[in-house]
This record gives sequence, C-alpha cells and structure tokens, in this order.
Amino acid sequence: MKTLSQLHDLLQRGELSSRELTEKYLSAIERDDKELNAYVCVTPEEALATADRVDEKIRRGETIAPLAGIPMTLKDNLSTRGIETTCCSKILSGYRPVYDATVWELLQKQDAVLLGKTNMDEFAMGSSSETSCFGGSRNPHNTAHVAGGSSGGGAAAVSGHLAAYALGSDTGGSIRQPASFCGIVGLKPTYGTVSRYGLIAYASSLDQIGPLAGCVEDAALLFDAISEKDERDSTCSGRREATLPALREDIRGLKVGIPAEYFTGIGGDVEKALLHAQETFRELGAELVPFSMPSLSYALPVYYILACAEASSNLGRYDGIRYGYKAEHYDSIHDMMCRTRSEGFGREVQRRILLGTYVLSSGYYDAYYKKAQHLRGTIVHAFDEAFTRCDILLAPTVPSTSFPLHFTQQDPVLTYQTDICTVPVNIAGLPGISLPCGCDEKGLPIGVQLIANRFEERRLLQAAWNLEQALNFHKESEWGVRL
Amino acid sequence: MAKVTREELQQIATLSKLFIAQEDEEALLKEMDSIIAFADTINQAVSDGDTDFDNINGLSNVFRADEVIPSIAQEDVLKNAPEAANGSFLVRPRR
Repeated sequence: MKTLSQLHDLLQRGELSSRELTEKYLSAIERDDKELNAYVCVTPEEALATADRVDEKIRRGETIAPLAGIPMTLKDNLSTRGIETTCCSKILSGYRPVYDATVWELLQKQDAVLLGKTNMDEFAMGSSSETSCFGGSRNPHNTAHVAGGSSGGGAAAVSGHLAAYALGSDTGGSIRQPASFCGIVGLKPTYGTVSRYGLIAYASSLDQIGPLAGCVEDAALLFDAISEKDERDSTCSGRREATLPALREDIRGLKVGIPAEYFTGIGGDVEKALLHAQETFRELGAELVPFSMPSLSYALPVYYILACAEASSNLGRYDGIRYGYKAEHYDSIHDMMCRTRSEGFGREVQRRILLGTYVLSSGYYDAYYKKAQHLRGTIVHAFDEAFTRCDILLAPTVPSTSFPLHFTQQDPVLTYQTDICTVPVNIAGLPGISLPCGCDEKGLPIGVQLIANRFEERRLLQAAWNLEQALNFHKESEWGVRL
Repeated sequence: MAKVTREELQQIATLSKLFIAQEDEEALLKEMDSIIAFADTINQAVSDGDTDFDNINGLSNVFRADEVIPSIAQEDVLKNAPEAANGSFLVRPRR
C-alpha cells in the first residue's frame, strides 16, 4: 500500500488522477462493504466533484495540498453540512447538519475527498460497533470477528482499503481499540489539541477526535493537519509543534516506562507480542523502566461513572423538538419526550443515561460522581509523576484480540472491562497511539499502545515510527483497493 | 452497597425522560445492580488529599469581548425540526 505522501506525489505528478483513485475506492466499497458494513452513508457525487476539482488544479499546474484528492471517510458523529449525520442512532435519523465540524472544514480546505460516513456504536457507546442501529462492522482480517468500537467503521474501512484514512473519536479507547483489532494505526491526541466543534458530544471532558491510518507517518501527517486552535471550542489550544518533520529522528536514550498494572491478566499471544515490542525498543537504544501505578486499578469505574454522568447531561438535548426522530403518538409534552427518547435510543445508550442520572442524583452524587472526580485527580497526578521518570509509556491497547461477533451483547460489565487499557489516557487527557505489533494464532492483529505526556505528540509519534519500522508488521489486505 | 429498587429505577427513568416497560424492569434492575456494584469499587480507593480535579489542562475562565458575529440563519436552524411553523419549533401538534 502507498502512504498518503506517496499518493500525493502520484497525484501531483499526474501519474494518477484523483477521479481514477476515487472511482477505485467507490467500486471497492460497492463490492466489499456488503460484508464489512464499514459505511452507513456513501457520497459518490460529492467525492467525484471534489476529485475533478483537484484534477483541474493539477492540470492547471497548481501545487495541491498534501491531502488533496485523497479519498477518506469520517465517523458518523462528525458533522458534515447537508450530509446525514446520525451517530448511528434512530433518534438522529434524517438529521443533516447545517454546519461542518472544524476538522472537516480543515480537511475541505485541503480538498480532501469524502467517500462517506462510517459506522460506529450508537453515540460512540460500545466496544464492537454492534450497538449501531445499522448493525456492526466486521473485521477485514476475519469477518466472524468485530472491527471493534466505537470507531469500528473507520477502522474496517482503512484496514479493508475502502478509504485511505479515516477520522474517528476516542472517549475511552474508541480510536485505539478498533485500530488494534483491525491491525492499523490509531491516534488519540492530547485533550485540547483537536477542536471538538461539530463532534456530537458523548462525554465532553474525555472526547477527542483523531486519525485512523495505515501507518504512523500517515497518522502524523493527519494529526498535523487537524490540530489547530479553534475559537469555537474553548478547550482547544491546538498542537504545540508539528510532528512530521521530527518523525525519523532516532530514539536512543528514550526512557520507556512499563507500568505493571497494564499487564495484569495479559497472557498468551498478546503478552508475547508486547514483550517483543519491549525488546525491540531496547534494541533501538531505548531504556525500559518498569514501575507501578496502583491508582490505575480504579481507572475503569472512574471512567464509566464520569462518562455516563456527562452523557446523561449531553444527551438531554434529544427531545423530539429541534432535530431527529419524534414519536408519533403522545398525550403531553413530557409523554412526547419520553416516548421519543425511549423509541429513539438503543438499549446501551438508555442504560448509560440511567446510570449517569443515578450517579448524579441527590443521595448518590457524593459517593459516585464526586468521588470519581477526586480519583480522576489522583490518576492525573500518578501520570504526571510517571512522566518525571519516563518519556513515554508502553502498554497493551486491549487485553485480547478482536471479539467474535455478538460477544459484547452478553454482559455489560464484562464488556466495559475490556476497555481497561485504553480509558486511563482519556481520564488524564494524554495522547495515546495504537500500532500493530503481532498476530494471534488465528491471524487476528495485536496492538501495542504508546502513551506520552500532554502535548508531546512529537515524541510519541517519533517513538511509534521507530518501533513500527523495526517491527515491520504492516500486512497487505485482500480487501479493497490495491495500488 | 445499595441495591437499586423498582421505585428508584422508575424515579431515575422519569428524571432521564425515559419509559421503562414493565417487562424490561427485571432485566434492567439486574444490569443496573451489576454495573453499580462495579462502580462501587471506587469507594475502596483512597485518593490523595490534594487532588481535586478541575480540568485537565489547567484552564481558567476568560471572557471574550461581547461582539456580534454572524450565526446560523433561523431558516437553517429550523431545517431539521420534526415540526416548525411561523419561524418557530412546534412543540406539540402531531398526535
């Protein structure tokens, strides 16, 4: 497969037209997406119109932007003016935003070619994309397994070569986990580097948009493209420095922390692959620093309490009045809202709204919400302390490889527990990346997660790039476009 | 740990503006109990004395100048409303 910068060079030199490239992707979607279910909406007319505009610029001898003419996709919770955006929920069926998300505005300025919107767990609540009202996305490595979630559609599209890259969102692992399951690279940036304007909110203090890409270099290019300060998101100050120029610097002397808590309960092929990644870092001249972070053992319940509390408030806006679905029959305003919400939200979303309302209700607020906020501070401190001793941390992305279909529909708590390695990064607002580091005996990909201090994407991506080159784990896929 | 009662569940549902059908009550009570038991594990944790959490990046509030800037047109705002009339959202009609 070609990197984004190689595709750019082919386009700029006129060796490949954007229309040709876009048509290849559209026909691959037509052929393969029945099985992968990565897309919930395909936008061929818009895609080809942009492609033609880029081709015209090239014909006129203009220098095109690095992402111009390259076909990509957006998760269905990113607002796209005039293009249906549903968060894969019945309650937003038919909703066409009247404005664009900032990230999409930035990509449109570069003439990015939008192929469509990708599948996700309803309102990004889930780990398999199976809570989507359109059904789950399947894993291109083995279609009896899930693509992961919540950004499962984007991961399946990139892994199955149905898009050159995707943007997703990560509240508790929703970029890194599907990237790990699908054998691609997923970056969750520092909280506050990428604008959340136009991202339909799940848990505002944890949500962050980031790229799903075929390799670390592509992820770096995409991060640099979308991490701009934005007046419309008051928490967004943009990146500190571009990551791409420093990507290839060597990492001798880098201190790689290995927090013991991330490795409890990890065994078999996942453990072997993770140990191999550690050994590879050592061979690259990095120093491994084993240590312990006891407060991590509370990260998971802290995450679920805070995320559900924020969700119960954020999802209060779906009332059948301003947008989306409205119940057909009702007796009063209260009845109309309750029917609209009960008919419009799926079971997992309702469960999280109920839990969030419970932990915020009088009598339980102190025991759950307040206590969880306090522990969030403790976890933030523990990471701050860890980064005085190490430059980056290494951990599994997920304790296992991809789940079989329908596995997550059995027991909610069991499913929540699979997020154990990804949620701490969101709690502490840190950047984290997942990249492939091996496969299990069934051929399902295993991801390694690297974590850096806030705003240190440059160092994070440098380490990831060096590891990726040494591991050389990128596998060709049987699906989609091959160039 | 407190178990969620049927009355509590219905009260939370009312606050959440959700209906819980009687046939779903039993399953939901069981699920809520297991999720809350899981959430309850934080009450075994001892947090540092001085780690009150405010926000991740140490942001503090700043007021911007109160300037009038263009916003989304009223006509556009109403485009997605299930029902609208006279430039307003219709809250009740369809029955």
